Amino acid sequence: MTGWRKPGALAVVVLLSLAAVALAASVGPSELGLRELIAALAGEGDANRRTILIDVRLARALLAGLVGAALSAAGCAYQAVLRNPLADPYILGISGGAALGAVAFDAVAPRAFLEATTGRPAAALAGALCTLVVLFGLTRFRGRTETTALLLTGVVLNAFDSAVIQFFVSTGDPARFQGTLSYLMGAMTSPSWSVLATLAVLCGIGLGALAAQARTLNLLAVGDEEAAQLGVNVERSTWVAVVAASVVTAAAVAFTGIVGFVGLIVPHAMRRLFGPDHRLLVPASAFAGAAMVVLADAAARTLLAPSELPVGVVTAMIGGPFFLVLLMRRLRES
Amino acid sequence: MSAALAFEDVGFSYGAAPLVSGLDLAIEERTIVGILGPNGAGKTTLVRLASAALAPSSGRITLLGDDLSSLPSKERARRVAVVPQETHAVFEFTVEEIVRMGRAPHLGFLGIERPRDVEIAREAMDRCEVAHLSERSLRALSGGERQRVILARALAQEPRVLLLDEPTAFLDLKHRVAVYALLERLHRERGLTVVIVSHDINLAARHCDRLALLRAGRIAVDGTPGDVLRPEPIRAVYEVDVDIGTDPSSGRPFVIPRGSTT
Amino acid sequence: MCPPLRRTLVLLVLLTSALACARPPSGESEPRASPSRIVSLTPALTEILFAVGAGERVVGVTEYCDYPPEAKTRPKVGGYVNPSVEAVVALRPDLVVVSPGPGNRDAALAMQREGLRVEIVPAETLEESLDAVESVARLCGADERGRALAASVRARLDAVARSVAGRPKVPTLFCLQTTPIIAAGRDTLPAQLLEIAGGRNVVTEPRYPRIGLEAVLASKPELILQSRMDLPAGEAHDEERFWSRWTRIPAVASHRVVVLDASLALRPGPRIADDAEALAAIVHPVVHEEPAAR
Repeated sequence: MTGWRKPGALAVVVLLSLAAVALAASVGPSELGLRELIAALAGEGDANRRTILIDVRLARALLAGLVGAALSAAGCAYQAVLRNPLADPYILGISGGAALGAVAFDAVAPRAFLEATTGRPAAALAGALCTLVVLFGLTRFRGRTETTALLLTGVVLNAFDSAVIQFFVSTGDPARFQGTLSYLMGAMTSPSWSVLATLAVLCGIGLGALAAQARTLNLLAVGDEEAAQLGVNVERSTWVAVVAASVVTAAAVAFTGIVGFVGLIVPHAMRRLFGPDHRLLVPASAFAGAAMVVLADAAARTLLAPSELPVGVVTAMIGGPFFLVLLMRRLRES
Repeated sequence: MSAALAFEDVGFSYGAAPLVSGLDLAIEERTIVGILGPNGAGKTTLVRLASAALAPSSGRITLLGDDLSSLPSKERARRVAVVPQETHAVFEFTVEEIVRMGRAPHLGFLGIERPRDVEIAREAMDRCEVAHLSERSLRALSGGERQRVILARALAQEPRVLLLDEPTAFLDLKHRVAVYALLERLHRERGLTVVIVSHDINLAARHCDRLALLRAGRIAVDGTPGDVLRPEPIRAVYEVDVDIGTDPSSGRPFVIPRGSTT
Repeated sequence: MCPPLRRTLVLLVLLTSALACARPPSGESEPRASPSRIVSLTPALTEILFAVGAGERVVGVTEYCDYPPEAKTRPKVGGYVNPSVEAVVALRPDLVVVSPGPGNRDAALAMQREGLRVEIVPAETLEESLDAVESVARLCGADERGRALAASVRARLDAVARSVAGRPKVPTLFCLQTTPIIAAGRDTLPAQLLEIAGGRNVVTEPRYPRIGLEAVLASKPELILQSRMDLPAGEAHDEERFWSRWTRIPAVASHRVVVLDASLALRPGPRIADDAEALAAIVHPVVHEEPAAR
């Protein structure tokens, strides 16, 4: 795409994500649709309706959107820094750390002073950030970080976290961990507006940092040595990108568990449409990812209504085949 | 003229093995210098030391009068540009996007390009004759075209020193000749200091003001092509017997290896 | 596959089948003496064993068999999801009782293969609980006590049902977890107890479905029972805070969100009558002053 077509396409993606939110807030087991949604937003209609449309559905759609945006933008950053289009936001062990934090919370938390609705996410965030610190400590050598070392350490951390989680779950009372296991598969909730605001701020900062780094991400994506020769402080830029991407990933995982495939598929698809220039790729991926998770969650809520599927199941069902198609097309081209 | 690039008793080791030791070399501004030598002599190490990709274990390297290790990376990138031997493109950047990356050392915090930056990049593409490929993906180009694109990116950096690591390694004859001719032209037009690490003795001899022969991590012979390209120095460095002829078009020496004696 | 190899494989299969058939399957009716060393792999069955007087003969229990308190003194053989076959075998029981549950099937089969007598006693629903009382009692040779106990539990359940008979059924959500919301559906023990206690389950799906918040809002429960079986009686709970946001739910608006701690066992054993009585007191607080003496 040349000239004005790319910015035009970006505008379309933004509109699509907004439309997705509107659509998601218009579907559900109660017979309330778009018209009622608009009325509710204007402050009309009865309070019951407003609660369902705004506090239950809209808040949840916005959460889904933030999570999708965070994971997709993080995926872009990881793919650039690791120079690997198969990297996803969980590859460095951030998700493992978050999951471990959540499980540890459920296993040992004194219920008296931490409630599950904010305690578990806080513990998950702490777990993810600890992982980041460990990653930093283990992979820096003489002031330099090899991306291979990052990748391998991430894999090991994920495996270790999985094992510890298994330990807790198998030695603990299964009743206690039922919730944890569902959460780990991607549990979207209708958050309070303060929770949503917290997440929005975290994501805003992280995504802002990544967007500001877009040019540097381009250079890093071409190669470490080449980026260095073009004046990039590779060590510092890599870590800024990794930290920003990890913080938004950690925030997303902390609140909604592990929603898979989004951070892998969306940057891929957007790169095919917009090219690898991160100045367009990062925002495009953020909005497209938001749309994907919003729609996946709407599907998760309505396919088996009034039962709900974990949203991670739906993203895997869409993402898996989609990824295979992308892969086959790529193989055929080369 | 002051030294554009100077190595003072530089040493570099990878683990226990020294790749370069006691390296002394001063390259003056606005000269074209060829660095020659057999495989493993340390030529690529020299380029990487000069671009600060590696830090010397001992000794000192100066770039345009300043200690290389003390220069902030952006300032260094404004002074010296590198054309590596090969590039591996993982993502499908277009030629224009790649060349515009060369402006990075001159851009501000957010990396916003001004019209002047775009213009400089376009000019560099014109000089290297890759303007017609601007929308093509780098991965889809031939070796020669790719080399010219990377050269254009280096030019877009507006450096004063240009380092090239075996720029003709994967090129056919026509493109080898073209690259050297282009380098000489750029040197003349812009007063660039050009340092070429090469296997191509004869083309280097034809275009370079000065040649340095590297052996086992140090400079063995250093001087004009006429001084350096003689049977004894060449035998000492390359362990090969040669005859020296004269290139009819340039009047420069021309190396003809003798047949194998076994 | 080449013929000689195929022949060998067929022979091996036949041989193994023959050997398998040669073992006497457990549970065949031979006249047996009352078992004297009993291992229970399910907390509910442990309760029944003690309740019918077979407590001294219990030599092994799971880590979660915490009632009656005496049961906690018995050697532990693991959890109820993954009991240790080795530990059970080492106790040399002449009877192992187990209720089918997620994950303990392999262990039970392994014990059978080791030659132990493993009796499978389903105990999930209300009816199964009552049947389990009698079956377990029979297995221990305490038939009379089993029948008496089952009858007494039935009688108390009927009494509870009668005591709330005239009252309108309270639409209730029996919730096991809040993030995500997992509720007790129809035909589960909690739901059946709720029905007896005069409530109407707003969830019509079977088993334990994961419910959306919108569906809860739409069903307008007037009472929310939140079960936290892992909480010791009397500890603080946060589920009320979760529900307190949704004031549109009638139960929340009228402050009828009740967290059930472990004093309500909700186990498919002899205490279901206690549970029913306690639930009735919660669902219809006006009718009951105190639950019947245990």
